[in-house]
Amino acid sequence: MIEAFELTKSFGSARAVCGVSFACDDGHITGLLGPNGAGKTTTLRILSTVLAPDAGTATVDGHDIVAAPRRVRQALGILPDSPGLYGRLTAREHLRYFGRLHGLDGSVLESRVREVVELLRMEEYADRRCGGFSKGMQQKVALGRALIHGPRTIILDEPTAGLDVMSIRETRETLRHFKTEGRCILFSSHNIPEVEELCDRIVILAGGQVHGVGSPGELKEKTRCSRLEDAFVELVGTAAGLYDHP
Amino acid sequence: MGHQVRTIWAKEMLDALRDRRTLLMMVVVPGLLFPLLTVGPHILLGRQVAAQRQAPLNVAVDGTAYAPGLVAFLRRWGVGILAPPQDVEAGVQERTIAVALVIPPDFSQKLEKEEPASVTIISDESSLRSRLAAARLGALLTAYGQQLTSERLARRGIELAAISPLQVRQQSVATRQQLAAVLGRLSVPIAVLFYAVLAGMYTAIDVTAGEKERGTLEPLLGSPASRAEIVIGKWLAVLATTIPALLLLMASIWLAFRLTPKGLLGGSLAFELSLGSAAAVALLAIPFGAMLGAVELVICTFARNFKEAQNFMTPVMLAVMVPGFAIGFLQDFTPALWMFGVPVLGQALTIVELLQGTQGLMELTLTLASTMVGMLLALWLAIKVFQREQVLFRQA
Repeated sequence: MIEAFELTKSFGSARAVCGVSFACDDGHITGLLGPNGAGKTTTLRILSTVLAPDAGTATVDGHDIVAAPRRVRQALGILPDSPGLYGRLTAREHLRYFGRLHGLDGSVLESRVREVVELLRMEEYADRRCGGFSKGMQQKVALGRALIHGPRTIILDEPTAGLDVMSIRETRETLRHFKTEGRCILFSSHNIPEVEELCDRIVILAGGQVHGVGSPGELKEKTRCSRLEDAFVELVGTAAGLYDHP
Repeated sequence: MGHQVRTIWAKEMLDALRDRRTLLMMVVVPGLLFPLLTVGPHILLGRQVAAQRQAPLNVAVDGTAYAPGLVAFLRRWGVGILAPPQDVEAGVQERTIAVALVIPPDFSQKLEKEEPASVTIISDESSLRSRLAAARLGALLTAYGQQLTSERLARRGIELAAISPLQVRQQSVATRQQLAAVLGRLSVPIAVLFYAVLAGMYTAIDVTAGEKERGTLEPLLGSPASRAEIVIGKWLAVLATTIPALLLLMASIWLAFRLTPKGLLGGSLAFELSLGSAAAVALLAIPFGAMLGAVELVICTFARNFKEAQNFMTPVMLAVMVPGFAIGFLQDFTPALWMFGVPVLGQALTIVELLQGTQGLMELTLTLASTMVGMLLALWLAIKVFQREQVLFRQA
């Protein structure tokens, strides 16, 4: 469960997010949809306590991100915008490292590492150093690292960006699996079909502000559009930045 | 707190030890390269001196016919008498001959009349070979003069001792250790200072700017570990590479001086590094390395990538080397007490004192205290810097 209230953050004179409020429920997939530069990454970084908000706050599973950041970090699983792996460590060593940082140890840690390796089907390369991994393999290690402590709430920043079709399908399957387990999933994307396919609720973000919240159906109904893309343009005023995939 | 710090430290160690650069810096450089750099100059200097001392002395003598007695005396002492070139001075200048002796035509007549007879030694002061040869020739000529004196006195029935009322003896208060340290201060402090920066540098860069460059910093910041725990874990990893490397450095410098034959190092004046001095310098190097490790973390956290961090570290390395060089060349320099409290300078001065065996308790205490204060201050600063978003997410 995530609840954000009026999150605001500037970098120097540039306002990245301004009064962002929304909620994500357990057992739901929530999509943060917006063009590049909309403030998606900043919002997710504030929620994961990596950045501090200038104003406003949020709670993750009831813990306040400003007052109790460590509690929030313990409750969250985070997949940042780049997988960020240590080239000289193996996949399993990554999982162990973050498991330990989350307070796991001994046989509990080892069995948890095995579970994650199985869940993400990483057996084949779990004991290889990550230096030469493909983008898809890297993404799985990063996802495994986010899941190692069994978080109830998971935040993913553009989880499918730059992946091949097979890896994208697998990632989407994994997200659906989390949903059936009753977890709260918040992910960012600028891919409208993906968001429409996966999400129970969409938060439309542009220019650092929320332009609409609702299920794909609700958003279309509200704007009287038959396609989500048209609804998006109707709500934001432009579709600029949605398609220039990096 | 302890659990997180240990986890981060253990991971950084595993990561660092798998990096060939770390092993190079921890084992090869301090174990082989630095001892060579430290002992090498001593060997080169010592060899030159020894070679000149043992080499036969050859003198180009102009006017051998005017002083057969003197020439015979020189030959008896093993001096090779060479025919003089056309222009004696030019010959010495061009270094075709090391030293020349010019005997005037009236030499023998003056000796017979018991008037002072003059001879001229021509040498090149700027050449070590020529200087040493001239000194040896001068000593032989003095001995010849003394021989003539005692012959003349004997003819008059006077003992040589009777006309030598004053005997001047020189006694130096410098201990052998101090004398030798004059040479040692040229190479050992600079090696220790420089290496205290270098030993942990790659680890310090890797755990800060390296994390940013790989994109691993964000997941780490999102883990339950606090910023202080992260910094302390990383600092301990820098120490774990710096301290063994510094101990190995001192051990191998000591061993290098031990194993190199005395003759090669310049004989009786050779620098001798006692085990006690080496151990004391190593012990001082530990807190110094710990302080520099924290300073490196502060600086490298600002860098966005490995290369930038290396650029940031270059002035630090130079700044640390300046006092090392200065102390090597300022031979007659009495440091004031406050200088021992200045970071880097204080440690450099203390290393020299330890090498000479003249360290004072006040100076030592001041150096250690300032090192500790510097270390805590730098560590505190590193934690502060690691809490600043502008630093961690610095854009171009």
